[in-house]
Amino acid sequence: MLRRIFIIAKRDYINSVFRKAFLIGLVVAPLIFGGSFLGIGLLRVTGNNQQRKIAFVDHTGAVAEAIIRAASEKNTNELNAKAAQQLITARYSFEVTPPNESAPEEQRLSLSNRVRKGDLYMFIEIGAGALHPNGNPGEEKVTIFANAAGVDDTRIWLLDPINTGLRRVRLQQLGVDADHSGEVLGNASIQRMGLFAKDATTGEIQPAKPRNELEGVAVPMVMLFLMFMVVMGGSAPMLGVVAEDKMQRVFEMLLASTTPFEILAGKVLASVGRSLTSSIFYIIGAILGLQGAAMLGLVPFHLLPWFFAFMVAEVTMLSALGAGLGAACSAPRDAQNMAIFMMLPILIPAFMVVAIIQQPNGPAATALSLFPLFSPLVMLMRQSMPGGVPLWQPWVALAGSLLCALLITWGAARIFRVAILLQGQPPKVSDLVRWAVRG
Amino acid sequence: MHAVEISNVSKTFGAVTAVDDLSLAIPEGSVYGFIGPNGSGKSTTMRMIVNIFYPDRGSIKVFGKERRGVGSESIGYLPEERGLYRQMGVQDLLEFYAELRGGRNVKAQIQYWLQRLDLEQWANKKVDALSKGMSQKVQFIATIVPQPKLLILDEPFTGLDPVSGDSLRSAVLDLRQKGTTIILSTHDMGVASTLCDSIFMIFRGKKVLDGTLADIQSRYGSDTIHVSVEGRMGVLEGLPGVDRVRDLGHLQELRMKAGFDSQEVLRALMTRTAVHSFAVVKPSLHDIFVRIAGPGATEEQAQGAHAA
Repeated sequence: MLRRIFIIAKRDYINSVFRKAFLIGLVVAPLIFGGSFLGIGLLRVTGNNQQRKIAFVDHTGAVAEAIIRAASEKNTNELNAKAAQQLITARYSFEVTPPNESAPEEQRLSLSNRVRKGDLYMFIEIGAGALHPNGNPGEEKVTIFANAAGVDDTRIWLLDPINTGLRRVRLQQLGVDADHSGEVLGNASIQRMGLFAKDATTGEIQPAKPRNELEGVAVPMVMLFLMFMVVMGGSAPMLGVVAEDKMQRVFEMLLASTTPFEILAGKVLASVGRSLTSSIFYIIGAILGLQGAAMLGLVPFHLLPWFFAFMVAEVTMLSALGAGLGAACSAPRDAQNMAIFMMLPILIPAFMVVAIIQQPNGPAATALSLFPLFSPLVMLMRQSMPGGVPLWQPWVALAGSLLCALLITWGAARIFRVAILLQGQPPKVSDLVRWAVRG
Repeated sequence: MHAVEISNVSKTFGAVTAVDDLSLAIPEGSVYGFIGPNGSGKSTTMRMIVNIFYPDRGSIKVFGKERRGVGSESIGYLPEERGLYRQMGVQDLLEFYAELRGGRNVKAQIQYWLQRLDLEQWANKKVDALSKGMSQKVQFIATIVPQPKLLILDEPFTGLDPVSGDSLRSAVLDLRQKGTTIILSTHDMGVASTLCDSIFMIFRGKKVLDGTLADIQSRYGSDTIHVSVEGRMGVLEGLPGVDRVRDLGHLQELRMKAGFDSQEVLRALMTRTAVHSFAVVKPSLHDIFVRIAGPGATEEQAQGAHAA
């Protein structure tokens, strides 16, 4: 039995890997998947590089200048800091527009039109009661008018200068010397560190290491991205390939000398081989690239065995599922319709990525990572985040995933055996379940 | 010993009974012809022997063993639905199938059969580049290269030109000579009559004929007359004692009603026209097939065929 499984796997592996399409895909896939991240980064860089002019309409008559000074200080500090890191940030400039109390709506329309034309990035109206709240909510507000006021990152950037400006003026009016107001309002520097740990062998206390954004977000994102890419590359073609082979009637002759399980197992093994090939290619490439950039420390070497174990489980699950569903197809359209079912186990964790990063050890992320269909992506992502996960969780997740992979392969083989020679109407979901359970 | 023993096997697909309580024993080393109209259950029977379908009831033994759920390397199977991996080279494809079935001395065998079936120059071409007939021959080679003890060919001659058909026929006879048991299905009654040692006919899932051609013909007696007469079909209408008349071209075939004497038919005919030839013959396989499964055939006729 094993011999026949290996022969089928060898044929499928050679016929898929030693092809131009696979080699091109190996290069293009990271460009497509990574392109979106790169695109967001580029947009941020080019977007931030623009001159952003902000107009203030100050109904207090006393705050605008203080806010502009606080904003200018922040902008200058950031520009200096970014310049040292060879990064680029936005350059803000400001103007003060005297309020037109007799025709405020006309003034707002006029400023809005300037924003539309690109002359201004946004304008901010400081209510008359903003400095000293007077019980009239309409006058206490600071209102931002912009094209995308709901989501614009400048809104967040301005929070600090606006409040600093208001507080400075208040302190000044209370008689605090301007030279001391900086001391009163100054922010403490917060350093982000990991946790102290104890070396299991030597018993020595190991100090916490500084954590940065790159380590906290980029490493888990890259692990997720890599897993997503190699799992997709290895298992996604299965459904279409089996459906196409079925339509070309190649299985009947194979079935004379092999069992459906052997055919399916051989195909799944070839998928695992394909994923292993591409993951080894990417991991070696990443290690060499990071070594060249003197960032080899970012590579989570201790997670690589987990990566491969989870990848084998996920590819087995999805490609077995794909083979079972592909066997049930009678036309290319059926395969297209069924593809979404096959991809759900990797699409759902991908949609949940933000929630997982924000709360890696929260109940939702923990539950998702222990659900066998999602474990390979979610658990690996949680493992690669600073702080990691309790030791038992990856083992439970891996055991669950492998068990689930076996169950799916078993059920898919039963569907495959019944459906592979059927033609005509595509089966209903109830048929697939019945075949998987009863054979 | 029997190569295949089928005992009381039934197989249904939903509401359709494809094979109904079938029993059949195929002797080792023989060429066994499966005939029957389309959809009568030939391919289903073959697929059950090969273990692609499992019977709902009954048992199938191949070389004395039941092998449900187990792949077999001793069976070569050429399905009716031709299908090969189109992107593979011919040589690679043949080696793949041979390896899969544990073939020995595979390369030499492949070279021999490619040469014999005039495909040697296509060995390194992709299957995609072959014509339909050539693909069929490649598939035939893939079936026989591992030297199976039992060869099952589902309509192997369909779609082949006469030269290729002759090559395949000769190959089948050679394999029989070497002791291979061969089951083949065909719609060509000429092939079944000349190539097969025994013939099995299945109709509506039931066995209606099983035996050698001579046995089958003798069961149908000598109720068939071939005549050549002046005036051809025109003078044969309404001839007493004749049930059915068929024009074969230069000859006309008469089938007598049960209990009639051929001499009475001859006398009646001579009163009508000049008779050039008159011969009482056994019914052809084609004729028997049509009697059982033709448009006018009844359930009783079909059932009675096997009982005859």
